Order: sequence, then C-alpha cells, then structure tokens
Amino acid sequence: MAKQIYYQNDGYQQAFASLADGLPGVPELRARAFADFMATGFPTQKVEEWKYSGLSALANAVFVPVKTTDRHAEAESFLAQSVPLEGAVQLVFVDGHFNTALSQAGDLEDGVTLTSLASALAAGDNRLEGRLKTNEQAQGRGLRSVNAALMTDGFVLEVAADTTVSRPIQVTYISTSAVVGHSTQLRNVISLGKNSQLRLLEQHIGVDTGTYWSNFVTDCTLGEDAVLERTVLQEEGAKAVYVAEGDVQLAARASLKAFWLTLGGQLSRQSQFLTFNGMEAEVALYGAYLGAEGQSHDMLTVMDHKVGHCNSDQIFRGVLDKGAKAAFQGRVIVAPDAQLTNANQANNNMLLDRSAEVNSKPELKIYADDVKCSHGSTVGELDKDMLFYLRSRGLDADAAEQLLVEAFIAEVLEEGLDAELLDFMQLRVRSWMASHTASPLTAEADGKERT
Amino acid sequence: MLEIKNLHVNVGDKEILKGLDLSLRAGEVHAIMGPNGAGKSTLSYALSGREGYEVTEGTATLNGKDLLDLEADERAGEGVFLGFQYPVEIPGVSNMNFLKTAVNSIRKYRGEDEMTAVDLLKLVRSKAAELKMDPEMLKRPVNVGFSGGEKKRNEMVQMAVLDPCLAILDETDSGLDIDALKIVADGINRLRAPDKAILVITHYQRLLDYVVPDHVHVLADGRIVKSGGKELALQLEAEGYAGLGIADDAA
Repeated sequence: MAKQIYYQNDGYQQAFASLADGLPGVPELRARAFADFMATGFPTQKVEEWKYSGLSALANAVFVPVKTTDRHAEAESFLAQSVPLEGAVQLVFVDGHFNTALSQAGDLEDGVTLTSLASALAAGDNRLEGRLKTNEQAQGRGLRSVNAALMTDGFVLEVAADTTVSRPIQVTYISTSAVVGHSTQLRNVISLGKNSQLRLLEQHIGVDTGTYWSNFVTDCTLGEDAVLERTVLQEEGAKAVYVAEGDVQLAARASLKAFWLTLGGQLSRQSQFLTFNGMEAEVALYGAYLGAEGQSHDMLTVMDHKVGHCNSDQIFRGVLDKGAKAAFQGRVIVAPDAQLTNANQANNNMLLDRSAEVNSKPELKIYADDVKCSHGSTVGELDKDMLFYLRSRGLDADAAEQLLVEAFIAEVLEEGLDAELLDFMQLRVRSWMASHTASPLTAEADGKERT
Repeated sequence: MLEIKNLHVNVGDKEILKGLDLSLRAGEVHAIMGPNGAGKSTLSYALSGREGYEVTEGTATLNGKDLLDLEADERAGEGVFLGFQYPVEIPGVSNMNFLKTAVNSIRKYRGEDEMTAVDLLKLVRSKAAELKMDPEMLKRPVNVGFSGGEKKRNEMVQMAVLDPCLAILDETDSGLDIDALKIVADGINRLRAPDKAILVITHYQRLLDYVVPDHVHVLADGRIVKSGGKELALQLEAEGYAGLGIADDAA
C-alpha cells in the first residue's frame, strides 16, 4: 500500500533531488539510503515492531523538509517554553536547521567538539561518513533510511578521552508554522571517548496548528568508563508525528542514564537500540508518557546484552486519558556467553478512562543460564479509596485525580532525574494535566460507580 | 447543627440504615455505639459522601444546608471531616503537600484566598507539634509505612489543620494501644468548642474514658435504639449489648 503511494507521487524524488545541493558530502550514502527508502517504504503495522504505531498519516501525503526557514520571531517565542538550565550551552534548531542567532555556544573544555552536522560535513570531516553508516542496512529500524536520505542538519558532539564536560549541553528543536505539511529530518552523532562525561538535555517544541513530521536519528558511542546522562522532553505540536530512533554502543564500564518525558504529538514513537559490547557497563532508562484523546505514544527498547557482567534497568510509566493509546515494547536479549547479566524492566500504566488503551509487551530472549532478568507490567485505574480519601479532605474530583497522577509519575521522575530538572519536569506534567485531561470522575460519580 | 431525619441508606441492594434520626447541637460530643453490622461505618460514609452509599429516603442537614446533595469535597468545604477507621496510604504525595492542597481546596470552596506557603507551614507545624508528631513525618508520603497509631495521629493532625465544624470519627480508636488511644482522645478534645459538633463512632467504651460525651446513642440494625447520657456507655460496658437485648456478633 504505502509503497504504491511513493511510485504514484514523485514528491520524495523531487525532495531528494532538491536536497542534493543542500547538505554537502556523503552523496553515495544518501543515494543508497534513498533507494532503500523507495524500496521498503514506511513500515506497516504488519512489522512486529510497528504493530502499535500506524504511520498512515505519513503515507498519504509527502512530508519533505523545508530548505530554509524565515520564522525567527516565531521560533524565539517558542524558546520561552524551554527548560531553564543554569550554565547550559544552548543549541537551537528551527524547522530542521541549526540557528546560530538563537544558540549560545559558550566555552567548552578542550577536547570537546560541538558543531552542526551541516558545518561538519562542509568542513569535510571524513570520519563522519563511517558514523553515519551505522546500521545503514538494519532491518526493522523503520525510518532511518529516509532520515539518512533527507537529513538537513543535526549536531555532531565529540568528547575526547578523560574529558568531563562541565556545562550541560541543551538542544532545543523548534517546529514553527513553516513546517506544517513538511518534515524535519535531523541526524545527531554523539561520541564519548574513554573516561569522559557529558550531560545532555533535548527538548522538542512545535506548533499545534497542523500536521508535520519530526524524524530524528541520534546515535551514541560510549567509550570505556564514559558516562552519559541524557534527558529528552518531547512536547511536539498537537498534530505532529514524532519518530525518533537511537543507537547506543557501550564499551566496558560505560554508563548511560536516560529519561524520556513524552507529552506531545498525535503520534509519537521512540525506538532505542542499546548494545553492550564490554563488561560491567550500565544502562538505566526511565520514561513517562502522558496521553490524551487522539494521542498515541509508542516506546520500543531493545537491550542487547552481547557480553556478561552488565546491568540494565528500565522503568517506564504511562498515564492515559479517555481515548488515548500507548505501547511499551521492551526487548531484552542476553547472548549465550553473557553470564551474570542483570536486566530489569518495569512498565506501569494508569488508565483514567476505560476507553484508553495500552499495550505492554516485554520480550525476553535469554540464552545464558546464570543471569537475573525481571520484567513487570501493570495496567490499573485510579484507586477509588485514595480518591475518596482526598475528596473527603476537600479536593475536588479534578484536583484529586491530578494529585494522584502526579504522584504516580513523580516516582519515575524522582528516579530518573536530578534535582535540577526534577522541578521543571514536574511543572510540565502538571501543566499537561491541567490542559489535557477531561474530568472522567464526575461522569463516574453520576453513573457506573453507584453499585 | 447536624440534623438527620429518617435516614435510609442502601449499600448495593441491601438496606443498612433503616430510618435513623439524630440531632447534634453545636458544642456537643455525641457517641454512637453499636455492634458490628449495625451500620456505624455506613452512617459515617453516607454523611461524608462516599460513592456507593445510596440514600433512598430521609434528610441530613448541616446548619440548615442539605448535605446529601453535595459531593464529598463540597461537604468538606462545608466543614465536615471524617476520621477514617483505616486511613489510606498515598504513595508519592507528601503529607505536607496533601495538607497544603486540602487547606487551599477548602478555602477555594469558601471563596477565600489561598493561604501562603509560609502561613501554611507554620499552621501545620504547630498542629503537628501539639499532637506530638515528628516534623519529619510531614515530609513522608501520606500514611505510607506508618504504624496504626501513626496513621491515627496523622488523622488527628489533618483534623486539627482543617478545623472542621463537624467531625465524624469512625472507629478511630480501633486497634490502638493505650498511648495511641490517648493521642486520638487528645486530638478530639482539642477540637471541642462551642461552635463545633463531634460524632464519635465506636464499638468499645474505652475511648469514652478520655473523651467524655454529652450524649450516647446505641445503633442497632440501622436505627438508633437507645439514647442517653454518658452513663449509657458505662452500662453497655458492664452489661454488653445483650443487656439491651441486642445481639453482638463480635462478642
């Protein structure tokens, strides 16, 4: 189905041709990627990993990147929503292009290279091609090839061995009204040398007035003993389709702690592929997703324990209001020789209405025998006893619900975020609650709970 | 202050309260005693507006205002407080945040401005100190990991902070050792005032050694079957419900 649409419509062909002179370098890589995209198209829901995210909104129109953008003032107004992060180096992308005027470069330690992908390619960084080839042929990775074919920019961040980046790097991606009916195709490359450390905060903000498509690929390579803390706040526009994919390669004793707070978009899909290549490496993934009517959030994690003595922990929590959908798919693979692996996974969901839907799918493929692996999935509703207790103390239905939802989400926020980000993220959750959720409890009081 | 007339309440298809009459004047403490299954908890839930307790007949007014028409939170706004037999644990919500939200919700209902964070903290700390609660417990999630006595003390702190005009204590004394019982009694006695009414619901006379009631009522099979002064509680203690010709399935 989807394939036919490409052949009937040459929009993507034209876009690819017109972008050929936009982003310099790597023409062969992009041509291969484009051919791959034309051959395979968008993944359909028959592909297991995409079962819960139908991309029909993308298949029925052509979403090509904008070549330039002139919405400076609009972008600036969006920046008011960005996380106030003390001392951060600020990178701002507007409609898929690095924006020098809105960014604040600031000093970074020797050994830290931070540039836009466009300028890195223009400068002829010949090591980049190898990095961009990562998983070029990987199956089931969906939209990586179209990203490689149409990418307009992104950032390249390299940290040399034994370097601690003292200031956090904050990246804000803004989609203005210029991108409605179009897409942003950004590609980020992060490489941490041996024994280096980095904190990274990314935020996606976008316009609510129409459908656009954000397609991100962010690959990370962590050297031995490297430490990366990454936080992603997804607040795309109400009608946006957001697809992000990441590949993380960990060397021995490397550590990744990542948090995703997913609030925006009509359809969002986050895929993370993590591979343990050296022993005693650690990954802790946390996530919270809140969905209102018409929203669908989908999270896929693939934790590949190729070697033993590594730990992976995952905690994802979701709150879904009337008519919202979510999916969590967590695959853990433990290779035959990966003894003494610890892999834990928890996915807890709260449904605020019976019409909400969640699919929680842990998938453990364990080929080693001396491992500790656990997974737990729960789907529940607001606790009636707690609600009555709160209401008997004067909280109205909305306030009681809001307090309980915040408490449910607070547990994962507190685990996954440091104090500096915690307060802000709690505020974002609170403001999301205030603007998105209906009041299902009032309806319940009138009806079905009278037993 | 509280007028209950011919109150009939169903839980599911079963009628639990079968025409209950009760009148509390301001400044009074009333005790309701009765055997298990008499409808004591049903009365407290029906008065505080819990879902699933369906009033089929009768009225209940507080200072002339129809309580039964109001949601649970609106009743709290009108000054009703229910002390729970089994206080609920709420993970992720600190005691302090809970009290702050409760106080300001009630103020909002009454059309009053929010209390400032500083004033609130002072109020909560002073009430906690009066009831000898460790201030550290204000930071902990509501009732999570609290002992039975700590939970009941927490109920008393909430009551003191919210300062209701009608307090209903639903077997707040059950399962407590003597020290915890004294804390509960202290909480109730501190609330006693000429403009407040207190309804103590209990299975045993024990609490009434510390909280001396103005009136004692015996609830059995959904109705008040006997009313009297504090000596009625003593009579019940001495003779049991059987002395009044009432079966007590807990005896």
